[in-house]
Amino acid sequence: MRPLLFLLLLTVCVHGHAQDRYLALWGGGVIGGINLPTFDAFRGSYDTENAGQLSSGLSGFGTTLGWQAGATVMISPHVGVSLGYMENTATASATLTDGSSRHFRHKLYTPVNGGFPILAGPLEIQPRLGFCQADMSSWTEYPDGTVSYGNERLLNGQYRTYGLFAGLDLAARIKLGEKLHLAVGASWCGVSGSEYSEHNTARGVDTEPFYPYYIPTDYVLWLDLNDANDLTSYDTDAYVKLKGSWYQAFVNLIIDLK
Amino acid sequence: MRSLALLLPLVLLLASCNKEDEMRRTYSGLYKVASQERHWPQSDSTVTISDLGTLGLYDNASSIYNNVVFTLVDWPLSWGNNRVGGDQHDQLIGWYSDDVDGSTITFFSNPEPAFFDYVIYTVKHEGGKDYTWTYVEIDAEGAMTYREVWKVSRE
Repeated sequence: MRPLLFLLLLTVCVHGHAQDRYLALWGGGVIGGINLPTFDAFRGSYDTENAGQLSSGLSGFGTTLGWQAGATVMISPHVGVSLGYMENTATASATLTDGSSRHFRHKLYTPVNGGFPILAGPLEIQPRLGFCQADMSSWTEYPDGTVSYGNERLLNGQYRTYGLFAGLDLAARIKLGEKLHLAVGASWCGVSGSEYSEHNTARGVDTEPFYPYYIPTDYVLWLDLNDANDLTSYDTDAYVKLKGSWYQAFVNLIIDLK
Repeated sequence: MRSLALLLPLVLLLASCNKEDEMRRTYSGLYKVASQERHWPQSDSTVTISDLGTLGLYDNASSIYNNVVFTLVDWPLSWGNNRVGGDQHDQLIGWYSDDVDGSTITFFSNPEPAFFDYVIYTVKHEGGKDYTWTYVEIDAEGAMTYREVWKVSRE
């Protein structure tokens, strides 16, 4: 993916010079949060199902940490077009009374992340949209420290999905030099995507025992129906989806290549 | 700007489909199985078998059907417990990695259409060419009953 991004940025760069417009490169860290209502629904039912065995319930995704980088072609003194990449990671976990723990790590990437920055003095507003991918890694850590993504426990595995997002960045620019700026701001993005699915082929087709190919929002009902061999009556829409929003603060270093 | 508009769908397409190939290329190759530790926590007993031989993970350019060739001197208990390779150890065994971050390797046999006997190992990169592959079994209460840890090195 990184060579592709580099080629894309190079193309933007060449294009910018050809049109006698200037290019700016930017990058920096992000910190924020992610809101996935379907995961919250799953958390509630997971805690209900394991009520007698939990010393601490499944937490929501905590602080997201990540980075972003990209390039902007300013097509006029106040309006530009940007392409970038962003990724952020957050984790959630529960602790069981036997000393083991259940972990979920959510990693979100935006391989196609476009924006239209508008500059008004030191302020910048940027509508943003693009395509994103999200991976949900789920594992169990046993009391002796053994980590397992294996199929001995339900929901262990690697889940993935894709989505489309749109949002807004607001930032203030601080001039550090003739061609160097610092942008400090905040962004919010809404995202809509499909269910997280486990791509382990053998696990997906095996029927005895049956493991969740998706993460059910109503885990209690899913298990009951699984026990009754009646999963076909489970709502096909009731799975954890990449549908919600993320918000973050960011600091970007910007280099104008004029 | 037209060139950008053309590039966007291309990046979208490539970004979504090449991770699986990348992980398969990352893990394919010959591995020396330096040891296999079999541990039963409930009886606190451990058996370690050293120098099991060579395991070949071949890249058949398939999403899952990549064959395994091995000269292991002792049949792995994790394979036996999950019937990987069949009861007579005479079925073909394949492998694949997850396409997220390579934290799992699955070995499987496919005795009949749409049915897999399989075992999933958790992969930990120990640095250089060394990896550990860990397999776990639990009882009905969720307590660990068996753990198998392979220490392997790429040749």
